[in-house]
Amino acid sequence: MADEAALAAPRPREGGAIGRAAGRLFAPAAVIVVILVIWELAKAANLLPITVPAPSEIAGAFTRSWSDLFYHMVPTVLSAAAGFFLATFVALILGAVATSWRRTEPSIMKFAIIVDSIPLIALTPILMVWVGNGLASRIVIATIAALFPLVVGVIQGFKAIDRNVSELFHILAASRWQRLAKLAFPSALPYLFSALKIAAPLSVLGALIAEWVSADRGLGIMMTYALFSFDVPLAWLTIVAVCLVATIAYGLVALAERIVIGAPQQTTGGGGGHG
Amino acid sequence: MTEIILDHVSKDFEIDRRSVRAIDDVSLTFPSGSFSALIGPSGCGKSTLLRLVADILGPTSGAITIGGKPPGEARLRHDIGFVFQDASLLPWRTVLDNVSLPLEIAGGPIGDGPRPENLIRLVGLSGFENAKPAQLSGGMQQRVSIARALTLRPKVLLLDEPFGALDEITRQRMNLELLRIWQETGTTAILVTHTIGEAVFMADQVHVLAAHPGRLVTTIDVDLPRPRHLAMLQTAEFNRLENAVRAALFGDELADDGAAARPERAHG
Repeated sequence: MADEAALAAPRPREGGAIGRAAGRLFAPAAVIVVILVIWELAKAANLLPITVPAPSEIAGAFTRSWSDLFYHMVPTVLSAAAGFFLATFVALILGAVATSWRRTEPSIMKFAIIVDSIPLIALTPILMVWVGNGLASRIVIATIAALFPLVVGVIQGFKAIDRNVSELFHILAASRWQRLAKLAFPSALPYLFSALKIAAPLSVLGALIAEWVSADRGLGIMMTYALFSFDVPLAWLTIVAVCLVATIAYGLVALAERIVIGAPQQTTGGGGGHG
Repeated sequence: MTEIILDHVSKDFEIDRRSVRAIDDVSLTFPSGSFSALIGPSGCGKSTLLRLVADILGPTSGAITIGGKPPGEARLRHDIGFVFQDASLLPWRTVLDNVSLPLEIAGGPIGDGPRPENLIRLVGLSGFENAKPAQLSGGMQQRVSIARALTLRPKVLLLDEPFGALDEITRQRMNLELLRIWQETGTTAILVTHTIGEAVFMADQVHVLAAHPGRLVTTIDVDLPRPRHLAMLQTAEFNRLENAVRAALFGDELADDGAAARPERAHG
């Protein structure tokens, strides 16, 4: 049993977890700063068209209208988050049905593919007529935008069950519910989180599309207003804001994954060239 | 008592819309509290036979009884413990939680079933209760799966090449431990193996199977005293039993090889 003791030995490393996290963030942050500087210089040298503002102009738009920005960000984040959770819920139910009653799986997959193949921008006006142009319709559209990768991920995850373990649950006379809760769901978690990471930015996009079509408040409508009034820096500000919201959504899912499943296998990944 | 009886059992599988006979008319009796081994080449249906007893599969014809009742009843009463070739642990659960899994599913201990902590001690893994399977060696994982199979104090213990993936030395140690555990628990054990020495060392009876279709060739009674010791591996009696199993497994081939070898030598 000496090999187990060797496995448990900690890797000697200077710097704590915070230091390592800062090190991981340093390289991408540096890249972004370099790009911003080049962008700014290119604009100053008149190399960019009038439709592309300098980063400083976008920053100017932020100082000018940050309260507007946050005013419009709230409903976008709300409908995206609601759509994201609703889509997860629906995907879990569809996945559970497809796993518990195998014969339903092809129908459920076809349904998901059909829903996904309808262009959202075409579906949105119809849904507005059906559901009304309030928050509910924007949540529904965000849900539809995020649904497909989730359904695929959940069904794949539920299928990724070891055959022997499945036989073990049969021998133990486990109920359908026990099989789902103690076997299928935990087995599916890595697949589910991969799907959630794809779905989180998609739900933001769905909310945005819904707001383009009809809303009185939201980043989508703010973007449209800015374009119609030829306020180029403000339009870019909204784009940057949407990017940030989508990235933060992704980051939150990744964080949740680390908390639920635990840190990814500790390989030599920390040893890279960050100083 | 938990005598297991197979009465003219056959099993067909459907492969590409063709019916293939996996097991052909096997009749066997496993006495209550005995240790039996099933040995045969791949394709002889020994794993299928085990899955029929465990009620994972149903026979195409014939009948199986465990203690006079159909296997399904024994399964629902949690009388069956099964150890797979690979440990088949749930990787997100600790050792203790893996061993406790049958209790969670059955909704509590059956009768005076053993406590998971005691089972972990029984298989020699004290101190590893909170380890995850990925942190354990293959042999240790398999010990966890044996402890898990014993959690509900099964009357029947089915072992499907449980140590097939382990090295020879670890395998001998595990076999000795398994025999000790079997004697402490008094279950009816059936071991599927493809190692002649293992079958003779472990079992009271070795059932030899042939392939395509899977059928029973013969049964060899092993009258070595219990408890078994490693020293027995070197006795003449052990060798004689091994040769008897080998003869049953290879049949005429043993004689044919000798006949075929002679003219070859003349040519060379």
